[in-house]
Amino acid sequence: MVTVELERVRKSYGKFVAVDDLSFSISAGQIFGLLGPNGAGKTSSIRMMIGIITPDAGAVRLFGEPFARRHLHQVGYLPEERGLYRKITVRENLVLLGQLSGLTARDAIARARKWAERLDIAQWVDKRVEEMSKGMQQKVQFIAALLHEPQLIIMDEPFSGLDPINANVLKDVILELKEQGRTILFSTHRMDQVEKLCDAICLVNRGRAVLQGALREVKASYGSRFVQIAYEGDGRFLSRCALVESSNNYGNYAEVKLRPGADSQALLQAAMCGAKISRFEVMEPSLEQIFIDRVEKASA
Amino acid sequence: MHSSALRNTWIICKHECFKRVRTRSFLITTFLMPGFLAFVIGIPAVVGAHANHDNQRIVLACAREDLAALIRDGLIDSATNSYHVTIDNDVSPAEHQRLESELDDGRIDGVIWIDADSIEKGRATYERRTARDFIWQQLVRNSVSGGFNRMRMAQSGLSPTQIKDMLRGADVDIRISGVKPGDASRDAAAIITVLLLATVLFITLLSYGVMIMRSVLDEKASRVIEVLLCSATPDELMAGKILGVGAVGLLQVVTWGTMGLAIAAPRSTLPMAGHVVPLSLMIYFGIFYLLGYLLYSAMFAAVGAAFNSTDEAQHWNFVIISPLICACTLITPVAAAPNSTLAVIASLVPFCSPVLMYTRLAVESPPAWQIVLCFAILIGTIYVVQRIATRIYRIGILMYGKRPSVREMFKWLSYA
Repeated sequence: MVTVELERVRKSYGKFVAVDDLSFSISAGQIFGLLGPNGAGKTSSIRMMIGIITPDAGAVRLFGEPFARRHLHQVGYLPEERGLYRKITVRENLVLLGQLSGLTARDAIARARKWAERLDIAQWVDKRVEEMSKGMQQKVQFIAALLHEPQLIIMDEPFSGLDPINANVLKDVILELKEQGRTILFSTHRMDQVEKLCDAICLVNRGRAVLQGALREVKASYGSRFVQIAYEGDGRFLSRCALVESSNNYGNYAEVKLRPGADSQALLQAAMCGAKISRFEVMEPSLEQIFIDRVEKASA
Repeated sequence: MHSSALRNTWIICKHECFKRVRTRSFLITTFLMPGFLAFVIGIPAVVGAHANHDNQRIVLACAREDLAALIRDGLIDSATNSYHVTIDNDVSPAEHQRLESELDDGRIDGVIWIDADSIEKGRATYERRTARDFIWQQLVRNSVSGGFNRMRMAQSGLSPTQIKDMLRGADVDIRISGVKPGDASRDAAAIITVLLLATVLFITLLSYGVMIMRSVLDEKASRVIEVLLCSATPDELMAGKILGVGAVGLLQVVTWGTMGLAIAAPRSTLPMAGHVVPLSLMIYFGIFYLLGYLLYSAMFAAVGAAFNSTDEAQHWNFVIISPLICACTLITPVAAAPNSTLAVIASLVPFCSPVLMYTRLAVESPPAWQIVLCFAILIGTIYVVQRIATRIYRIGILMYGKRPSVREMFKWLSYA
């Protein structure tokens, strides 16, 4: 079953086209990454999915039906920036947002307490939001998005402001939600997390989809033209070698993209002429490499 | 309205209301502000009343002792404060010069000069160091004139009893048709109370409108609005906010009113304060507060949504409050001439009518057609303003960055 479907959606603000003929779909139970540089149209796409704005053209479908506000009780939204009232307590924030999502105040309090214990912020429930650190506020925001047990969870930069330990806790929760069959949409720049968590991606640039599909397939389609080299000595072989299409050199470590048809063994020989090679690995491209490659191509 | 829309509006309304009622600032403004205002207004009045007159040293230089005594008695009888009137029978030019120099040096505060020529012509001179005490000047005028009258009557052979009898005059009992006769101080209290209520109307409309604007700006800046919009529509959010903040305002006004009645009641021999402010006026107050609030709050909400900070919204803020300030400055002229053309027109202008029609109703009963027309125009304007404001709000709350121009805001009206 398809949880979210955008079909040839378009949204413009005056002359500026924020989303242009964008189509993608997210299957139930999937973790989906919506990626793109700043101003690519990610936020506008999300806003159309949750009915904050309406598309100028095209269709948005949730849970297999044309968008209707009643679907929103099945959607949890975690915005990029903290969307909480700073002057009131965590409990008051969660009760308000829970009630607006269809819960009773009593249910909202009970669920909030449970989640607060799980995320280790139980002692902060009666404190005002402004007294909390950014990371803790992010946890509260996370709880607010999950309080009403939505089937679709939309998260804009969910790990921002979190230290590695708390990011790991949240990652575990997300995987748990996936196991429960919930659908999760990430909008992020953190490619490492997308790569570890997502089943499918859609890369948007200037309002258009430039790459999409299951993550495995996307990476496989790029072939094995990427090489990681750890070396000591002269790294000028990277700029001299005709086999190299592009490279990202860190001084004693480099990520190299070979030209189509180039032989990786020939690159190894060229590298060994001027430098001592401690590691040479032919691999699938990282999502970050794909992201940079596609955005640069699309912008060229 | 759909039941979920009503539910969301009610949830937002409750949240907005309780969030404010529990704050320290609400408790302070509700319970301490009236006392503070009374202090701020009352203390200068009391101090001024005493400071202006205390230890006023007046020299009454008069060629006739009997006239001087009559004038001094008049002055002392008329003045409620302590004046020191010294009679000086020397009316020579040298004495005049000496008194003028004492006046210049500040050793005395005023000189009433009545020499033989003045007595003959019936003309006196009153010289003061400053011109600020105009009430005292009127007292001097009345006392000197009264003294001359008494002196002339005595000269024509009338006895002091006859003179007193002739100058007894008559009390004028002023009554307002349709109002039970009360004593003058009560009627004055009634007028002051309704004018005070008109001012309260102005202050509450302004302060709660600005409160809404700040609240919307805050939600926009903190991005709470994005989360709220995932569960509620902009219309529900705006309606809930306006109703919630309006309820806080109403609660505050009712609390002030109850406190006022509780303070006034023990001093009143009549049942409650119905005599001071008739029940009908209290009902009108409630109606005009609600209508005025619905009109202004929608505009403030739209401005809050359209801009990114209070500084940016400042210009439009001023545009909105201008008619309210205008209405406030017209309270006194409208109360003085409630049926003048200015009063009739101004009280029909919807942005002024909550304050000015209420003022007219308080001091006189305007024709029924004017009241009906006022309500019709006001309600029609509220409908139009609410529709425009909702459209600006819908778009504005999601617009960040550059301050929108008027043209852009007009464009927004066509988006929704």
